[in-house]
Amino acid sequence: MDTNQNSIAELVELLLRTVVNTESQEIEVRADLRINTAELDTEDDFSFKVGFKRVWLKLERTGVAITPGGRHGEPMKANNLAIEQTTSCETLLEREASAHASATTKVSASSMQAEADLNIGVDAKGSAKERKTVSTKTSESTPHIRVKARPSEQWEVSETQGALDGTYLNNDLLCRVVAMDRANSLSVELCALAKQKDLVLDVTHNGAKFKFLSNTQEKMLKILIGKALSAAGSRHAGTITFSRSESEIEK
Amino acid sequence: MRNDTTLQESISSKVLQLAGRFLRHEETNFVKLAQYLQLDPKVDFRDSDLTGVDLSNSNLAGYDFSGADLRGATGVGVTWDKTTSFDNAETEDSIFSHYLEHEKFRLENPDVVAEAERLVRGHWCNAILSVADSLNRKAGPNRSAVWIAKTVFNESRSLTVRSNVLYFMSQVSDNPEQHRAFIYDVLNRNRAEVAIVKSALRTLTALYARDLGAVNIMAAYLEHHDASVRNAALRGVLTSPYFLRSSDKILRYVISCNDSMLRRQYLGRIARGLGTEFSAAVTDPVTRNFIDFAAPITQRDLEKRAEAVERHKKYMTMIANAPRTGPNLEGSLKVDEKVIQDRVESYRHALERLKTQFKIPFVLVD
Repeated sequence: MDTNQNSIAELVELLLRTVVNTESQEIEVRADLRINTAELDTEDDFSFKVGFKRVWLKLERTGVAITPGGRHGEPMKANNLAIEQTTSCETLLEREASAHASATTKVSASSMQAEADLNIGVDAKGSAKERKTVSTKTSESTPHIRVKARPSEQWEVSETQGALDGTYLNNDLLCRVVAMDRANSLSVELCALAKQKDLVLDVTHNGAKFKFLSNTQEKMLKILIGKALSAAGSRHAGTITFSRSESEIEK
Repeated sequence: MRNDTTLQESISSKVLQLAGRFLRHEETNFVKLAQYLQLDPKVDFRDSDLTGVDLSNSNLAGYDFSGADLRGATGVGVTWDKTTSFDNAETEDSIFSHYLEHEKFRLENPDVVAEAERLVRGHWCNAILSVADSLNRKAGPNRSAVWIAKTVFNESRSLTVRSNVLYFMSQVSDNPEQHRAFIYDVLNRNRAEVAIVKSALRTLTALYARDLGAVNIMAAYLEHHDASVRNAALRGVLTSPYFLRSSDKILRYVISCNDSMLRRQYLGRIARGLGTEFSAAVTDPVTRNFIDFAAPITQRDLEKRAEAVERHKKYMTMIANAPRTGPNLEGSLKVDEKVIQDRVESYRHALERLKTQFKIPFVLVD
């Protein structure tokens, strides 16, 4: 049986369901997660737009263990990493005063081997110095994973910038679990929470962006709102728990 | 946990009224703001975002900043003690980073601690020479040497030792963030020692005028009781590309200090930042100094300055065109009246802009 509690569904809605696969005996843990920004209005024409830049999903389980290898949003690092090495040659020509010298250099480089074609024509006294540089470049492109699996059976939900706003899980499979031997009861609980430092707050007054007296004033207001949100969810200082979903799994 | 309330329903009207009053409350002190909002220091600042806050003149004893983001938090006259918690807090480039780094090093290196204590207890001359020797640039300072120097600075009661150590340390820094953190800590702990404060401000000016945190710290010293400290701070702020962020504060200080040179310096700094036409509008071409904005400016003053500039321009053109035979000066340096008036008009425009945008109280007399 699934129980979903969302203290401020307007901001964060989490829905959990478990689906038993009778063949493999694995239980699929699936979730919906919707995150929004919302507005608060005061009597004196202030408006606070509240959002979060990071939300955490925390899984707790009783009587079940997570099946390896199937967690949603696992940020796997590629085992092979391409390294490009470039070798380049420069030739500096030093010439004496009143002498005329011309020089052309052609340099080409390929990975692992350097070739330098040099053609220097000097019709006056001069000397050439060769300088060789080797540079190694490693590049790896890493896509941003919005719902990223983290240690301690957590998932981090974030965007590259700005507040979270949208559907991040739509009946997606978070993980699979199996019943542990001799477990009396089987259940999973999923919480959605945020730290107050991840609160995003935009303040307007009479429709215009409000100019804070100081950075400190802005940060203090965020703490006040974060504290008020925290009281709505749970009593944990500094952490705001928005949602708690529990699913009891029948054996 | 309540269930399925809207955001508006979940926050009480009492909190919203408090928020509204708070936004109109003109207080900047961190502790007083926390008291106004009835925030509990033991609980409500955990995991909070306090990046870049000004903690000036705040006693943070008993505050729990566990997990908080305190990067860039600065201030003067900030105090804290063992009851202040920084567990898992981010404190880079803040007023706390030196202290926390120092305490961590102390716990991990008891032998270095013993050496530092020996120097502090010993003769002042030996302390200075030992620190100078260990920070010797040729040999290259090591982390222990830098730590010992900082400890000797913090714990010595001798002003001579401390001034010398601060000087040596400015030659050698472990890394810019740590060095800045050390200077902030020096300023915070030694706010009553004018010589040390000035020395620290000069170091910030010389090395970190491009750092916004350093500029905020220097701006805070514009209100110091000692005039020489205020001037050192002003010099530092004016050197920085961020000085415009503190322009209101600087202007208030410059106006109140009754110092003509500072007024000129301030005006010149703003005008240079805006461009050559502004610099020209506020420069006396005869003395080549920036003008004092407290002195009245008449139409005749503007015309004389405009004429001097145009005449000089004409002369330079003539010199450039007649290198061998010399310029023919007879009657040829006269400047057309229209040219003078055009320049006067551009000066007036520049002065108006400076007055409107930067609130410089020029006294323009027709």
